[in-house]
Amino acid sequence: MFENLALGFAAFGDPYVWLGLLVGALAGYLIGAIPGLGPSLGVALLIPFTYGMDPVVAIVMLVALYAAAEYGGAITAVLINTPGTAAAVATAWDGYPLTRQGKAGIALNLSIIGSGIGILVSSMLLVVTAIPLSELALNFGPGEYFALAVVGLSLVSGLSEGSVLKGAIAMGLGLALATVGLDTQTGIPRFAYNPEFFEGFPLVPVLLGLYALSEVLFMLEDGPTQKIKSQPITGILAVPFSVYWKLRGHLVRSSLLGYVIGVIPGAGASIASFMSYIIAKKTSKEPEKFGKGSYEGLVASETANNAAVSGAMAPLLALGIPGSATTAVLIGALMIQGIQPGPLLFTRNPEIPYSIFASLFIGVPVMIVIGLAGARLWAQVANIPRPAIAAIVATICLIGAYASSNSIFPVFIMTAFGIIGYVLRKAKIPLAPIILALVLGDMMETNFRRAMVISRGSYDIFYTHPLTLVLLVVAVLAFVVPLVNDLRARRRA
Amino acid sequence: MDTAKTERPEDHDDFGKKTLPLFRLEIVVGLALLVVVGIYLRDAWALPESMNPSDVGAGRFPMITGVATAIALLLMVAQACRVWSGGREDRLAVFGRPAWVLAGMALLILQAVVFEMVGAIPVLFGSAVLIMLACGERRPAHLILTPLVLTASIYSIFTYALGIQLP
Repeated sequence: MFENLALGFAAFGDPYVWLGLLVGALAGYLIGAIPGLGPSLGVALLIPFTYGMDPVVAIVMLVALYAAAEYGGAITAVLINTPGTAAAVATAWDGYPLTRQGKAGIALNLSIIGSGIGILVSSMLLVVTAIPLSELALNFGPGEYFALAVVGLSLVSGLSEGSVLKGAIAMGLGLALATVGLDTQTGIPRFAYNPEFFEGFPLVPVLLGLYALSEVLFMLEDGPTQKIKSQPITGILAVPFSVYWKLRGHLVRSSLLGYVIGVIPGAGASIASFMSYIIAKKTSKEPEKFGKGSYEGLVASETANNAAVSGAMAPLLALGIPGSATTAVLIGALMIQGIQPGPLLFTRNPEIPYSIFASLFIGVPVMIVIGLAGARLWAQVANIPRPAIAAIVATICLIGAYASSNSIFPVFIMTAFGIIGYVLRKAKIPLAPIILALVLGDMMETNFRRAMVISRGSYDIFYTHPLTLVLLVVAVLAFVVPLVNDLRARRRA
Repeated sequence: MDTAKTERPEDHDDFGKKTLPLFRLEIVVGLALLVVVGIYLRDAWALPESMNPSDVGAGRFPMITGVATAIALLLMVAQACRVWSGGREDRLAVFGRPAWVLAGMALLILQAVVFEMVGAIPVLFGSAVLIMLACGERRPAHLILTPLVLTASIYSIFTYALGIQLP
């Protein structure tokens, strides 16, 4: 393991890898600081720029963007009470009151350093857990793999925003999209009404359409935004070590909690930050300060949401199962580079997972410096006129889709999915399960069919193998429990 | 029936925003998707059996997926119809500046249609100007300079740095 870890760090001997890290970090801060643009949209928008790049440079850049977007989301939450990402909502609860008390610099320092500690601790956990997890997964048969994919999808659909039913619909739509194209086992074209569809739905245009272009339509809805008055930032470098020493318990606990929640498919950074905030308040000696400018509350939320980034990487790298919208987009980026995440990744392409580990470690001081040094600038980012952002996003979508295969077909796909994404979001149907199912669909069907061949067409393979059975029971519970809760809540209402 | 609950929220126009009870949108979207899933199921059913007797064939997985999705859609539509008949919907779908959004959709389709015919630079510049206009930008300097810089940088990055041939 240490040999491979050294291989990951050695990748940083290449200046292009450093360049990728810096570009990803800067783009991530930019995306994170703009309210409404999250890490998934950011990663989707950056994918077209990685065509033809070395896979290590490309993946380091995308992971850096993912992590930096979570850091960046806190800056506008603290300074102007406008969380850049959903995971930074709890950060604003104490960050903005601190700003109003004239402690904006301290609040930014705590949130940025807390984020760094969260990433650092959780990255160590990632290194320790991802490799044994991948070794365990090497023993999985097709039945277990199928069940694992079902668990991932069920958790994401069950935990997604809105009703469980809508999560299930989104999952079904994604799986249906994944079946379009030539059947890999028989060569029969399925649902391919045009030869362009023989290779299935191209992933990049679908991602750009659903996440980025639909957001452009939402920006058209909002119209031009008002200029935000930002607050003065003083004392950003004047936080003594003793403050952190007092907060050490919260920093460690929130890092651990964030990592564990990040590992669970569908949970993600937002849930991690809310849970960490609630636990910090319950265990605090000064709970009355929460919501009024508590250092503990700020650090708990920010540390946990960044720790969830490394957590989300564990199932992605070790099992090939993305647990969140952003990791689903990342898996798409890996596939475009010809890399298949999963247990074999650690033996076939060890430079990829170990470079990711190394980039998370090396990225911590880089992100902290960029965050602290550029805090004033990132705060101004929220003032970029909304029409200009809409034009930038739409333009990158257009060229990115065209460049994915140098033809106009993906542009039409991207446009169609942009409009579909807008309508689905209006009907409160979540988009994350669609992407996850589209990414996992092929693997799920292939393993389903392999399992059925092994059992000679009998479904008993799915309940006679203990691990498969346990995973499928978890998948069913992931749907049934939120559904029952949903129905109870409706009855009460 | 409670008259206050049976108000037609779609009549309200709050600061240029149109609102619609969510159940109506759920019924429309649900029925539209049911038609699509119906076609999908019909085509899945028509897929031939595998030559390998122990393989379940190309159609089994799509059939399972299609049936499960259709059931979920039917449940959503049924739930929405129940809310409709009960007249107790308080969830709203809000549509801001609908005319501009529709114009934006038309623009996105148009840029896809003319992209190869007209070429990348004019389409990038033109669509950036029009999207900014649709988004409410009215300052002439911003409307000219932003698309100009944007077109130049995007075109240069993709053509010269990434080596991608654009029309």
